[in-house]
Parts: sequence; structure tokens; C-alpha cells
Amino acid sequence: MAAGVRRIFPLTIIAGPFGLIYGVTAVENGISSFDAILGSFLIMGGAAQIALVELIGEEASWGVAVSTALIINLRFALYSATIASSFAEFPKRWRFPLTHVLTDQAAVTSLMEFETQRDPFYRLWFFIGSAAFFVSPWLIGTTIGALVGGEISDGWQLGFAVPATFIALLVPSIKNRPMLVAAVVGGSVAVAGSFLPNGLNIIAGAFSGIAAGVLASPSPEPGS
Amino acid sequence: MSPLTQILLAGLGTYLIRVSFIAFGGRLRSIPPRVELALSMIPPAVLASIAASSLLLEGDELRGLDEWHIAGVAAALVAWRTKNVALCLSVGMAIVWAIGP
Repeated sequence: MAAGVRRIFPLTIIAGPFGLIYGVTAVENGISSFDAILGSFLIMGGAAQIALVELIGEEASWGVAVSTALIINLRFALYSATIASSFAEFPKRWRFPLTHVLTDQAAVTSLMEFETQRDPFYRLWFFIGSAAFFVSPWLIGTTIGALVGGEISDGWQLGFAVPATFIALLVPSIKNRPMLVAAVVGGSVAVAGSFLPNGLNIIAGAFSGIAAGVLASPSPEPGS
Repeated sequence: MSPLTQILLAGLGTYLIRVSFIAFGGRLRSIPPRVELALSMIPPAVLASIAASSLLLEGDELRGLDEWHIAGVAAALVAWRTKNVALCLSVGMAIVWAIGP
């Protein structure tokens, strides 16, 4: 467990401030502090939560708001697929609760460790250590942000924290040329589609970006 | 629909996404390459859509050129050169504070 905590530690530095930004953004968009805090406990995905509360604030339709959040979180399916064989060796009473704290950071940290560590008991406690340690500052930051949110003055320009956060997450997510195509097309379509009602421009940007990225990728080798 | 209901739906949906392959207990050894490729395109496509519209749009209009654009470009450069999320956020916010109204 201590090893998990140690490995994930550098990544947790951002979790507190990121939680704070989400909490403040949520209450600025008219969400109650209680709902904002509950959102972090229930969704456990900061980017999706910020997008959700922004869309609720813009009075987008609930279908668009919820689908946008779920599209952002669809990346967890990729972690679910890659970590499933390790999770299969965990007792069921641990496996399903721990699924809830499968964050980007815990998944990436654990998958790297699991390459060299095969013992299921070690893997279980490594994952518990890293995942639990990571979500703590996230939940604490959220709570503080949601409670003091209304008090923070406009002079702080916290509105800029939303694009800044997404830029900070976007840039490292671009790992090759097709992914760059996905980002450029997605961003351009989202801006060009600004006339679309209800935040649908985000969904339009997401799907055209994904399609462009797939088309720009070399086709998989036959038989692979 | 109330914010709370939307949060509950998003929470439930997110859990179902996370549990998707785990629920099969690792019996699905591999996912088809095309599906994996499409899944890998989700983060850049979605994050860019949100980053671009929150940086460049105000309602459904383009924002006028201001300190946000400069800070946005600087934050992107820092993120690209250093891969450091905390530094990227700090530099972006510092620029907005320094040259903002």
C-alpha cells in the first residue's frame, strides 16, 4: 500500500487545486454546495464534472449535459479493458467498490507497476494505496471549493481556470499525429458549431474529432 | 431536470463505463483494434472541444481578443514543453492576473 501511495504522490499535487476549481465552478453555475460535493463522490471524474456543471449553468438540455459528461468518461472503458485481468484476481468485495475509484492517475500508475509485480495480494494493496490516496485531496478540494465558492471574487479570474484546466489535460493526451488531428478537428468543429443549441457543439466536436483521428490513423496490419 | 438528478445519472453512467470490462472478470482478453483506436481518440477530441469552446467562445459568439488568449497559448506551451499540469495551470493563471483588468 505504501508503494502505491509513493508512486502516485507526484500526481496528487494537482488533485486538490483541481477539486477546488470544480467546486467553485459548480456553485458559480448555480449548483448547491451539497450537490457539487456529492458530484465528486458519485462521478469521480473532474473533466466530466466541470463540463456537466458548465452545461447545467448554461441551461443546456439534461440529455446533452449528461451525454457530454459520459462521452468524456468513455475513456474509462479503455482502462477497464486493460486492468480487467488484474482486477479478476481481486476478491469480489474489493473488485466492485475499487472500480469506482479507477481514475486516470490510479489506472496509469497501477498498470505500470503491474507489469513487474504479479502477486494479486500486492497488486490489490498497491491499487488501494494509490487510488485512495489520489481521491482524498480531490474530495477535500471539492468540499472547500463548493463551500467557499460564492465568496471568491471575480477579480480572481477563476473563470479562466476552466479553459486552463482543459488545456493542461489536453496537451499531454496528444501522443501521436492522428491524436493531434482528432484534437484540431474536435476543437474547430466545437467553435464553428457555436450556433448549435444546448451545448451540442461539444458533442459535434467530440464525434468529428474521434472520426478524424480514426481516419488519420494507419489502418491496422492484416491479421493483427 | 434538477442538477442533482443529472449528477446521479452521470454518476451511474460513469460507473457502468468503468465496470464494463471488469464485470466480465478478465475473460475478454482483448478488445478489437478498431474499438481500441476509437477509444484512444476520445481524450484528445473531447478535451479539445471543451478547451476551445471555453477559451474562444462567450455564449455563442467568439470572444474579443484579450488576456485569456495570451494566457491560453502560454499555458499550452508550458504543458507541451514540461508535461507539468500544475505548472501549466499556475503560469496561465499568473498571466491572466498580471495583465487582466
